[in-house]
Amino acid sequence: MPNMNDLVEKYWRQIYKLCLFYLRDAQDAEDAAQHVFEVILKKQSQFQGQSDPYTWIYRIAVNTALDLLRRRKIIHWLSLEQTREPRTAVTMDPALEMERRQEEQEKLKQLQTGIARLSAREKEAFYFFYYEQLPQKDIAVIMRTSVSAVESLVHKAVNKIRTV
Amino acid sequence: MKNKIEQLIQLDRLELEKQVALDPFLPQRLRSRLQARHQPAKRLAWRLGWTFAFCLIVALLTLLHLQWLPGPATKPLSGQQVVRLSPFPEELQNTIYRSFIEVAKWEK
Repeated sequence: MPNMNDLVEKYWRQIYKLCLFYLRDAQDAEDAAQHVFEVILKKQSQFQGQSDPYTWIYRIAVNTALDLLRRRKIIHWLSLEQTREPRTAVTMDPALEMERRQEEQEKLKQLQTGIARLSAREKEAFYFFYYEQLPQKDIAVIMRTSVSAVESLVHKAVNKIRTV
Repeated sequence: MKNKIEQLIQLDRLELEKQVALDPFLPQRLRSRLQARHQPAKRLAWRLGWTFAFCLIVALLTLLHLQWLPGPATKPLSGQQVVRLSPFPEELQNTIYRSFIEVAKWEK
């Protein structure tokens, strides 16, 4: 396994994007990414080298992001606050029409609400298929399942989102 | 319908990519945050290591001083067992002891 600097250099983009997808908040995603790297460094000796390091790293990243998401939900529940609206990762572009932009943001919000309703497995499969655009074979390796199961999870996820 | 959803997903994906690209200093920040988290542990490990090495040296010196100083090899009396505490072989012990005597003679 490479050292800390090489790890960050090589995987920060994928890990940060994954955390951003799950948490939808830049600061939370950065904290989560840091936590993921800490876990990777701590568990480095447990990596047996049987699989590609990226499948192992993705597993850790997904588990960490889910853990943080769960913790955030508990904190919000305990503090009796309303659940934070998922922030759209949108930056205002002045060149675009305001109306179109608002419509787009509304649709993205709907999509994110749909994604938030997916189960952990569906969300994982959905993310790797559409956002990382990995082949189903690789997703199956990361998720430790079969290709047909991945296909079914992605299909279910899209159907659930469609009903929102 | 499916196409519309897929278009929307593509849009969301691009927005995420954009957000990732927006922060070029993130890897640097991550590195320094990770280093800051790891340095105290490293320092503590070094200190513990040095303390352990120092204690080991002191213990070894004490053992040498108490029991392992080379002295004259004594012949066992009949029926008596000799428990060897010295790490040096008998010949070497005798040589060292003889050299001590030689030095003592020369000093006189």
